[in-house]
Amino acid sequence: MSAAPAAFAGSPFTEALKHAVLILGALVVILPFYVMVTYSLKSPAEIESNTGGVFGAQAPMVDEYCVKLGNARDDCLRTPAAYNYTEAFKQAPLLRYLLNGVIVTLSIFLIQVAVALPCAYALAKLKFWGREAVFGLVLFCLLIPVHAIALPLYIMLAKAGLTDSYAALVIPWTISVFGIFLMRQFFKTVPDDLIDAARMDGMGEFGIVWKVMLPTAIPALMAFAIFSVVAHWNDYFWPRVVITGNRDLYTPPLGLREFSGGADGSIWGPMMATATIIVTPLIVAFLLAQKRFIEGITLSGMK
Amino acid sequence: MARIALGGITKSFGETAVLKGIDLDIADGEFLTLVGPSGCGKSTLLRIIAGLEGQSGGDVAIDGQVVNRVRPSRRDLAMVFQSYALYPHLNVQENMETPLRLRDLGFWERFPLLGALLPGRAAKLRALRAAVAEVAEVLEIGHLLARKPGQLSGGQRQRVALGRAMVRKPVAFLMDEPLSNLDAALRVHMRAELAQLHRRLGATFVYVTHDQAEALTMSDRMAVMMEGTILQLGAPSEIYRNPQHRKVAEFIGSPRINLMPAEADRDGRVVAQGVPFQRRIAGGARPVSLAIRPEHLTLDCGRGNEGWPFTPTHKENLGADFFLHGHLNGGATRMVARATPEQATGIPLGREIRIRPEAGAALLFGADDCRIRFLEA
Amino acid sequence: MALAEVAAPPAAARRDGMGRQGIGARGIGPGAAGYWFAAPAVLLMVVILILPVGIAALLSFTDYSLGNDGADWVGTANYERMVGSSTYTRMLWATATYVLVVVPVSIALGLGAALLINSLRRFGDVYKTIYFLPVMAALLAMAIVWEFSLHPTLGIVNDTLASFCGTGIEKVFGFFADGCARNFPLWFGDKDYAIWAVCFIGIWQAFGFNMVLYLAGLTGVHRDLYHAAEMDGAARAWDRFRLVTWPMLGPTTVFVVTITTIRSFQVFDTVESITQGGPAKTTFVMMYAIYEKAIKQNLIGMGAAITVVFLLFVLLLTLVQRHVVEKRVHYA
Repeated sequence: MSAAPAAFAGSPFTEALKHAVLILGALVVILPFYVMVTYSLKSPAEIESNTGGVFGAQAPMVDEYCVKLGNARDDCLRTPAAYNYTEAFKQAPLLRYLLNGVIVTLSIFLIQVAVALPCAYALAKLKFWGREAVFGLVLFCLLIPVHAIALPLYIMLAKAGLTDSYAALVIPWTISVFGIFLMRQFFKTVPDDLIDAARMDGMGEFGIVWKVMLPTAIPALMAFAIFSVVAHWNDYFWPRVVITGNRDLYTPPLGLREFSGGADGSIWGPMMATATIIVTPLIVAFLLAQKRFIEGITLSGMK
Repeated sequence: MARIALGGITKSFGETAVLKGIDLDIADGEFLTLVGPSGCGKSTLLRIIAGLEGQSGGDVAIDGQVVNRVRPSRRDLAMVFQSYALYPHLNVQENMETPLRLRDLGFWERFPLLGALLPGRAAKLRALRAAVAEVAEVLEIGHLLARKPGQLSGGQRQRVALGRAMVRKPVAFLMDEPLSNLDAALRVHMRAELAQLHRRLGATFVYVTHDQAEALTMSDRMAVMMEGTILQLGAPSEIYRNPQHRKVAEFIGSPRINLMPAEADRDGRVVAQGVPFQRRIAGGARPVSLAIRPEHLTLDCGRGNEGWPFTPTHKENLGADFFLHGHLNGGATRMVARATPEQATGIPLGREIRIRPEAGAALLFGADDCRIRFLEA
Repeated sequence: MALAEVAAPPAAARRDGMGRQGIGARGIGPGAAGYWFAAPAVLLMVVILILPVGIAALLSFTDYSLGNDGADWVGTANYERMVGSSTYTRMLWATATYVLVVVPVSIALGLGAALLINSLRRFGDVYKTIYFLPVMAALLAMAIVWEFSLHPTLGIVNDTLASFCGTGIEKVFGFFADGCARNFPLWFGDKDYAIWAVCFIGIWQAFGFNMVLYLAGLTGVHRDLYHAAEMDGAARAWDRFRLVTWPMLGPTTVFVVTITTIRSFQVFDTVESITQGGPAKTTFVMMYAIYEKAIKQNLIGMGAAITVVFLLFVLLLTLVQRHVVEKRVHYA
C-alpha cells in the first residue's frame, strides 16, 4: 500500500528506479547462495579458474584420491556434481550430522512446549499464591540470553560429566522464557467460560492444558515452532562449546566447520555441497510457507 | 470560498462500479450533504473531490478550473476525517500548526535542526502561532493546546480536527462522517455547532453522512445517494415532503415512511388496501405503491368506517410523541402511526381502530419506484 | 455439609482457585495445578538461567580453571585486565566497532528496503522473500561461503573487481588504482579490512530481519494519517516520512534497535570460522573472546568476567529500551 494518495502514485520512472535499486540489493543478497550452489556443482579446476558457467561444464574429472588408492585413471572419472555431493557424505558422516540436527532440534522444541505450555496456562488462567512472582521471574529471565551464559553452563555440565552428549546440546534450551511469555499472552485471550465448561465436563487441569488450550494456540505454536527450529538448526556457538571430542554428536554446522579448517583447493567443491545440504531444508521450507516463517521469526515483536 | 462542479464522475474498483455518473454543482458557501446508506459511494465521491482517489471518468472543477491533474495538497481544500487522523505524536498546537508550516515555511526552514538557524523563520513562526491561537479561540480549545490527542475526549479531538482544517482558510471543507464516533448527546450538540460554524465562516461545506437526521438538520441542500447515483438533490424540506423516488422516501424520515401496495384502475383511480383515494393519476391500470408518513395518519377510535382497520401491537413512547406500531387488516402490511400521549394512553394494544390518511398527504410510486403525481382536480 | 459441597455450583467454587487442593478423583484441582504446572519452568529458570549468572559473577573474581580443585580469589584483577591489557581493550574496541557499524547500517537498510518495497505496485513479495533468505540460512554456512567469495584469488568478488581493471576506473577511485596495480585487499586476512568484512556479513544477515519488522510496522500506520498529511500540504515523500512514517514507526524502531544490538553483541560464527579473532585481534569480539579464553585456554575466571560485562551491557540496553518506550508511548 503506497503512502502517496492512490491518484498520484509515482511515475513509471520512479517505479523503475526503485526496482533498479532493489534489484541491485537483491544481487548482493543472493550472491553467496549463488556461489554456494554453483560451486557445489563444479570441478576443482573450474573452481580455481572461476569458469564453467552456472552449472559447471560437468566434464568428467579425475578423482585424485581414487587414483592414490591405486586405481587406474580411467576408472576414476566422475562428474563434478556427483563427486562433490558424494564426497560431502563420505568425508564426514554428514547423514549422521543431519540426523543429529533433527534429533536435537525436535527434542528441544518438544521439551520447550512441554515445559512452557502448562506454565503459561497457570500464569494466564490459574490463581495461586506467588503467581505474580513467577511472572516477574519470567520477565527477568527474558533479559538473559542463553548464549551469554554459555560459559557457566558449560562448567556446570562439565562438572556433571555431561559434555559431549545429546543432553548437553538440549538441556540449556529446554526453558524458553520467550515461549512462556508468548503462550501466556495467547492464553489470556481464551474465554474463561471455555475452561469452566471443560471443568464442568469433568476434565482435570492437565487435560485442559492439552485438550483445550493447545488447540487454540496452534497458530502461535506454529510460529514458535518455526522460530525455535530455525534458531537451533542454525546454532553453531553452543554445540561448538559443548561438544568437545565426540564427532558423532556434531550438528550440521559443526560438520560443515570440520571441512573448512585448513581448506585447500581440492575440497572447496564438497564443502560448498555440504553447505548447500545444510542450508537447503530451511530455505525450501521457508519458500513453501513464507507467511508462517516471517510470522515466526518476527514474533518477538509482539512483546 | 468556492464553487465545486462534478461532471459525469464514474469510479470502478476492478469490476465493481461504485459511482455511476455523478453530476453535481455545489454553490459557493453552501452546506451540501451527501447522504445515503453504507456503500452508496458517498465517501468515495468525497475523496475524489479531495483528490485522494482518482476518478475513472468525469471531471472535478473548482471555481471553473478542472483539477483532475492537481494534487490534493494543491487544491486548497481541507478535510475532516471520521477518525480525525490527528498526528498522535504532536500536541494540539503542533497538529494545528502543521498545515501552515507545510505551506508557509520552505523546505530548509522546516529541516530539523538547521532550520532554526535561518533568518525570518522566527517571524513566520510567530504569525503561525497567532493564526492557530485565533482558531483555537473560536473552537474553544485554547486550554488544550499542550495536550496530545491521546489525552483528549472524542468531542475535543473532533474540534482539533476542525481546527486543523480551519487554520488554512481553505476554499471548501470536506467532512467525512465527522460525528459518527461521538455519543448520541454530543452528536446532537455538535450538529448545532457545525451549522453555526458554517454560518460564521461562510465557507463551502461538503458533508458526508449516513444519518438522515444530520442531513436534514444541517444542510442547505442534500443529495441522497444510493448505489452510486444521486437519486434526488434538493433542500431538506423539499426532499422530506416531495421525495421523487421510493427509496428516497424510505431513507429519509424517522420513523420510516409507511409503504403499502395499491392498485390504479383504468380511469386512474387509486385504491390502497381497500381505501379509495379522491385524486386520480394519469396512465392506465397498474399496480402502484402508496407511501404515507406516520404523522399524516389520523386516528379514529370511534366507530367510523373510513380509513384502514389497524391493530396496534406495540406503543413506542418518545416522550412528546407516541408511535403506534401495528398492522392493517390483520394482514401483512405493517404500519406506524403517530399519536399524542393522550390518544395513545386511550388505545389498548390488540384492539382494532381505524386510521385515515390526511388529505393530500399520500405519495404514490410506480413499479419503477419513481414518483407518480396526482392530477390536480 | 457434604450435600452443600456437591450442590454448590462447581464453577463458582473453582473460580476462586480454592475449589480443590491436591489431587482428587478428577485429577489435579485448579488450586494446586498452578504450582505443578509452573514448577518445572521455575526450576529450569533458576537452574539454567539464574544460577549461571551467579556462578559467572562469582567466578569472575577468581582465577579458576577447569580441572583444578580450587581457585584463588583475585578480586577485580580480571576486570582490571579488561581495561588494561591490549588484548582486551582490542576486544572491547572490536565489539564496539562491530555493534556501532552493524546496528545503524542494518537498521537503515532494513528501513529503506521496507519503505521501497512498501511503495511498489508489484513484485514486492518477491523482494521481501529474497531479502529475508539470509535470516534463514545458517550463519556459519553463509560465513564460509562469504569467506570463499572474498577469497583473495579464488573469490568471485575480487575477480569481479579485477575485471574492471583497464576500463579507466583506476583514474577515478584510488582503491581501484591500488588494486589493479598490486592486489585487491585480502579482506579477512588484512588487518585494516577484516573487521569491516565481518561487519558486512553481519549487516548482510541482519537487515532482512529488520526489513520484515519494519514492513509489519508500516502496515500498522493508519492510512488516514497519510491522507491527512496530504491534505495538510505534505506533497513530498520526505515530508510524509517526517510527519507520519517515522513517528509512527517509533515503537518498531526501539524494538529493532534493541534486538539488533543484542544480537550484534552475540556475533560468533563469522569470527570463529574465518578470522579467529585476528588478524591482530581486530575482530576479537566478546563472544569469541569468551570462547577462546575460557573454553580453549581454560582461563575460566577471565571468561567469567567478560560474561558479566556482557550481561551488564544487555541488561542496560533492555532497560533503556523499556524506559524509552514508556516515555514515548503515544496513543493513536
